[in-house]
Amino acid sequence: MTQKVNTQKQPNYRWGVASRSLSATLGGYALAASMTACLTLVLPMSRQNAVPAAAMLGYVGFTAAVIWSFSCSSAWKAWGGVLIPTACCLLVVWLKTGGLIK
Amino acid sequence: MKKTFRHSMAWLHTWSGLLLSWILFAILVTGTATYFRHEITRWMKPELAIPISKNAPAHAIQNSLMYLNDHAPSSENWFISLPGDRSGVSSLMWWNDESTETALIDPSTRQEIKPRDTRGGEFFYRFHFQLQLPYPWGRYLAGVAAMFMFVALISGIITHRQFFKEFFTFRPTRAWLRSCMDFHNVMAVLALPFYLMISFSALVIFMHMYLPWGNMALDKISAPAVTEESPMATPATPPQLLPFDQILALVEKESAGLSLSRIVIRNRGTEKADISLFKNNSKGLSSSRSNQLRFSAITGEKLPLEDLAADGVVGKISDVFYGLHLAHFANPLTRTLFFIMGAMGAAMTGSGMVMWTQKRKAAQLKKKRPSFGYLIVDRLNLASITGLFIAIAVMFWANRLLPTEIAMRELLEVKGFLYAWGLSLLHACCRPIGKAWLEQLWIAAILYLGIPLLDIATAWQWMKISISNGDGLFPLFDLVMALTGASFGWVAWKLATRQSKATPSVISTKTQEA
Amino acid sequence: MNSVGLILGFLTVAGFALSMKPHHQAILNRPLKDREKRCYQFAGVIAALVTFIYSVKTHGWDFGLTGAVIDLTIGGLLLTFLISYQPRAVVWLSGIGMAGLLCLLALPR
Repeated sequence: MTQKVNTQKQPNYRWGVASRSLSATLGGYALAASMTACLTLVLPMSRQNAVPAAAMLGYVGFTAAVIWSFSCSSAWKAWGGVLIPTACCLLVVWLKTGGLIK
Repeated sequence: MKKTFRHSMAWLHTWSGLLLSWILFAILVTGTATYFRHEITRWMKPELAIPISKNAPAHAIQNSLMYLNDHAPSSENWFISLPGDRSGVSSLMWWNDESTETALIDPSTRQEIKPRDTRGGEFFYRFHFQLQLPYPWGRYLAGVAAMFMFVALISGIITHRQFFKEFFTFRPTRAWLRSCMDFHNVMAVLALPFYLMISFSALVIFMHMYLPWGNMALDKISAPAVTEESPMATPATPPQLLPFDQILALVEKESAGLSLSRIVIRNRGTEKADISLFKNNSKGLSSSRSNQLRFSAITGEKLPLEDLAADGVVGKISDVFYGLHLAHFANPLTRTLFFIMGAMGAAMTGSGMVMWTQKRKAAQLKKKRPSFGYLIVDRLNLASITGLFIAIAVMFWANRLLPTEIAMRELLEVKGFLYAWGLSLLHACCRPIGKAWLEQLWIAAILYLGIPLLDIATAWQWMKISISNGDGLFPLFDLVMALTGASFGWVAWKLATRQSKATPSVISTKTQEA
Repeated sequence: MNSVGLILGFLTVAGFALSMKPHHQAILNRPLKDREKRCYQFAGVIAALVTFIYSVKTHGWDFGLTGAVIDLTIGGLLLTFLISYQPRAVVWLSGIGMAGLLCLLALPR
């Protein structure tokens, strides 16, 4: 029992938790936001349907980002797992709004 | 992060559950109260209890229109909320050039009723998504809380090892902490579909605020949707208002045989003058859009609804989420069941909060100084659970005791709520925590048990009318208050017994057993 | 949402509870046999189907599914507290519930 407490008090652990928390909250929101934008543009539905569908899937993505951030084996992986899909979504949004792809 | 996935999810559940639990508890309690906000408003405005004559429903439309014609003859836009099974008065609104005016009238006598200035049940409604904070920060905070709740639910599901084995299991006779855990699990598991729906639908309802990026991205590609000339535009020439008799005749003709909840008359001075009739919202889950009738006030021909009902599956799904969250469709029995499930949610959250401190109590008490976090959580728990209920009771007491003529009366009631809540936190910080819990529980018990007596003492004249109309509102409300008070008294008594029995060694063995 | 739905919900959860060892022991005061377990599970599933079908038939698809879930939730709430404090009452209430439903079925429409 005492050993467990000591591990938790080590600075590494605390930085890890802090990092994962940021990746879950800020990174998670970034993922949700970019997913919403990307899916709204990509989903083959009318505007009225695409917007709520994208937002709902965005919330699911947010939840997935949180769960991923706290279950993967390192804080780096947490950020990677959240930021890479975010970047992909943002790329699609950039391409679509720039008119580069239809 | 921890050794196993489940272990990590348990950690996540604890923290996502705890960090905003105090706000979530308040949201859940006020949100649950909101299911009966019209009833709470009627209780807080007892002057609305009017003798109902036999002709009231039949003449409500006519009297409402005639009142508007007498008092707002030159106003172009009239809004009428007709009496229904949740309100006996006609609620009228009209637009002048600068402002909106409202009035409540007795639908059978056309007399204006001036109830006391209070926000009534609307306070709970607004509070649960705005938290009495300035726009838009309250809504954002409530949204963050909803997201935390959703994550806590999902992580809780993943963590719960004995999901099916411990279904329906509540063992009040075991060690207290184990019983608390059972209670938390039972409250969580039984109404899990409801909680998932409530938290997710809360996020969906405000998606235009929390995730506006979809619309923004679309607006970058295509030009924003062209808005038609606003139907409320004032015409350049001085309006020739439609004669009242024409409006009355049209409304009566189109509404024959229908049970209406609202009537909206717009642009009486232009050719765009139209009348919208809203039927009583009964079965539909998607809120009101399919219950409208709209026709021109000039020609009487039917007009298309401008509020396009969502076509397409996803649009309908978000409508359904909206409808499920608000439960507009619910008859009294269903509404009561939603209320029960909301209360279960509050019980789930509260038991979780208390479990967090109780699990760590033995270890913390052994240390020279308990950790700051533990101390804070303990006190916040008290202020947030019992303190909130005390604050609500204080608001009800203020509603009955504050003189009706006083200025800013409704603000004073809200201030009573906020100050009582603040005082509860202060009390929790100043007193030894065990005593503080007991004292606040007893205060809550006395306040709630006192409400029926207060009611009879201060509002008997209206209670009489209401009861003689066959309306059970006052007795039922007072009964619920009394039951709440009795529950607090019971908990206080149990806690006092447990505290007097417990010695430090007994507490630590109990927690180890759990 | 009506009382028939609630009765059906209660019967569903009671059936499932009786198929679980600790609850069966608490309610009927004797251990659960394997064959009985499967019977109770089957009964629970049938009752669940009836709850959903009844709710959808009475209220339409819109509210029917929600109504059935509410029936099960509230039934489960009542059942859980009965098992803890008055387990025999589960037997009584199930019996009364079933009798009530049969009467309703037998009544001429």
